[in-house]
Amino acid sequence: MLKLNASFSKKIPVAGQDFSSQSYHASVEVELSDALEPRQIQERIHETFKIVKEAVETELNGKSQPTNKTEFQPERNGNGSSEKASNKQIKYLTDLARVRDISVSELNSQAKKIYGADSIYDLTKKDASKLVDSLKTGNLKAA
Amino acid sequence: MGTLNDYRDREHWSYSSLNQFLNICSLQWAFQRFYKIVPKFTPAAISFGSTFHRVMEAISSIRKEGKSPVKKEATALFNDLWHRQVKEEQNIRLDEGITVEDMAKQGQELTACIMDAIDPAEQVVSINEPFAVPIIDAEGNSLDKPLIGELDLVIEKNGRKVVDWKTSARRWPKFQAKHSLQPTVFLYAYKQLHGVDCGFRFDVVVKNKTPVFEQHETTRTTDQFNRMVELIKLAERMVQHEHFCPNETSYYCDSCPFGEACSSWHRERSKLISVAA
Repeated sequence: MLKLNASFSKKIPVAGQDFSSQSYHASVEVELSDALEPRQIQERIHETFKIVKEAVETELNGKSQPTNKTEFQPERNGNGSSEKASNKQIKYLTDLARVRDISVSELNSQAKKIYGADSIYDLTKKDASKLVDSLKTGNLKAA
Repeated sequence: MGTLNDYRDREHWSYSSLNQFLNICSLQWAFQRFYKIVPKFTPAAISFGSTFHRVMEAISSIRKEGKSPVKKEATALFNDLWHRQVKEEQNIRLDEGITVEDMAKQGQELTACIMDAIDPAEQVVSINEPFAVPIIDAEGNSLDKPLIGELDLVIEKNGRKVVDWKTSARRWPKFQAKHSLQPTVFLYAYKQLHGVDCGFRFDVVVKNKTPVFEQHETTRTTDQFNRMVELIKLAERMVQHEHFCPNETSYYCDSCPFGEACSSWHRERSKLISVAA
């Protein structure tokens, strides 16, 4: 009897908190028949790893039910989870913008231009995170 | 487009919430928004104001298309909307001696009055523009909650102005617009949204026997915006510590839908304090 252990972990930054991250990890142990060919074992490893990876991604994106598809599903509008950015996220965004001398109206314009959101309060969590990253890396500058 | 209802889903401050807390009665605010007591009734004046707003929206939409609204149609619209509102809202409480039909007649007269005062040279820029903006103090620190609301009307004529529609039981004192919190809140939001200063005007129809139309213009400075933010910070600290105080002389007391809860508030509070002690 062969034992296969597949695990996948992913770290993501916590919006609004410098130097912080959250780690998501899943692992699965399955038993395989001794009679499997090397090619079959390779296939089982691939399939098992895919299941674990999908499970982590699913949890990260707030989906409780796994999907049957092997590839990760594109989110609504292609912009990530549709859940709106939290007040804390927006506060962090505006605080960062202030330090870089970017006004709220400029920030709103960027939110519209890049993500199609009417204002920073219409951004999704993911898009707000991306905007935070742009501010941090200096890709977004005062007009 | 984000709607006001979308913005209401997050914790927020709004003009009506701030005005209720700071100027009307913080205990009424707490009953409605903190303890979430179901109000016993809706004062008729609130429903009446709401109908009036809907009529003004319709009139302004026609103006925005470059057309002239017809007075007869506008007054008929008030009549229809008012009767529908009375039918749909379960617990409207009318003032003593006033009937639904009295109010329908008054609403039509007020609508006719404001229609006569429309300036065709004014360009309608936007109607019911929802907003959510961060609240930032003079030092640049933003609060957790945003300021949300909806601008009734924005017009352009010799500069841009935010206009708010009001019905009033009496003529406005000279300095009411100058001291009102509403222009401060709305002009602060406008500046955050558009990056520029803007004027403010109240369009008021007074419910006299023969209705009177008044316009009150005002502006606000950055210093007044900073003062508003400090008031909000103060309100937040009061909420955090549940420091709610009944305004015993508020003009709103007689028609307060939380009157019952208010009258027993001090007895409940004494019990809580004795238990805690």
